[in-house]
Amino acid sequence: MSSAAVAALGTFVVSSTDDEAAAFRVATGAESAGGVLPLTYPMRWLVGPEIRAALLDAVADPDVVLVHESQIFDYSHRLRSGESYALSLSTRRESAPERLLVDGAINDDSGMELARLETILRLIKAPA
Amino acid sequence: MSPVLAQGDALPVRQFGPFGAEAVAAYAQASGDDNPLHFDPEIAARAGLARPPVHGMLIMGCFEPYVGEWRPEAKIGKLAAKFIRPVLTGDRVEISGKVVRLAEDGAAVLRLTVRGENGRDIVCLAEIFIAP
Repeated sequence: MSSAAVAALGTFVVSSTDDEAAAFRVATGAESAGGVLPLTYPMRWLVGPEIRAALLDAVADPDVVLVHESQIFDYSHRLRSGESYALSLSTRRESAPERLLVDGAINDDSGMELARLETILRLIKAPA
Repeated sequence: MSPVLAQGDALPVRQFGPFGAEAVAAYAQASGDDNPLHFDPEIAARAGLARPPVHGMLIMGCFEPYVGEWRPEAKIGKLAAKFIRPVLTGDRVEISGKVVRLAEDGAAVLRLTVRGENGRDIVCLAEIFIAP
């Protein structure tokens, strides 16, 4: 296994409406209430159009299929709907096997870090 | 009030699913993850799968209600999951868990095992960190 240098993907402003959070709760069975977002909710931000496009740019190969291999969410504070956060992302590539590692930090308006996430995607060459 | 935690305590085994096409579509809508691999049997077949796979994050999303049902007062600080095998649309999963570490201040680590439809194959392993 070899690992490339860390590349900053950018900082993205993310938020959730009450309705979006409620739909996510229904779909996953999460019971968090009082505006608290389900623990896995930040995934919704990662697959949003802007971040997804940045991740695909980082992969830089349209013939590769991204397979979700592992996921970590690490909270010091729970997130809430109706709040805006800064999601800062960076990526690393690994080879043998090919992987894209995505590290994220979620900060509030004051700059305090509330949560971190790590997503590991296996990059599998699609058959011709 | 739940009884005091002890290392080695087992969480009740619980089934989730079946994750039919409607459940997968609802998760895709709610999460924004509309990867066609999860809907298109042809794409799934090209990946060697008999049916489209359920989003791994839909399985991971089960952990919060699973732990919450066992200990409603538990404050999950961290969750980490490794997706080992795909769960296919229409399948159920069975989640079991155990307290594998317990600190004096009450912080605990749970190890969760997710088995697939046949109850044998491990499809996902996870650790859940409970804050004191």
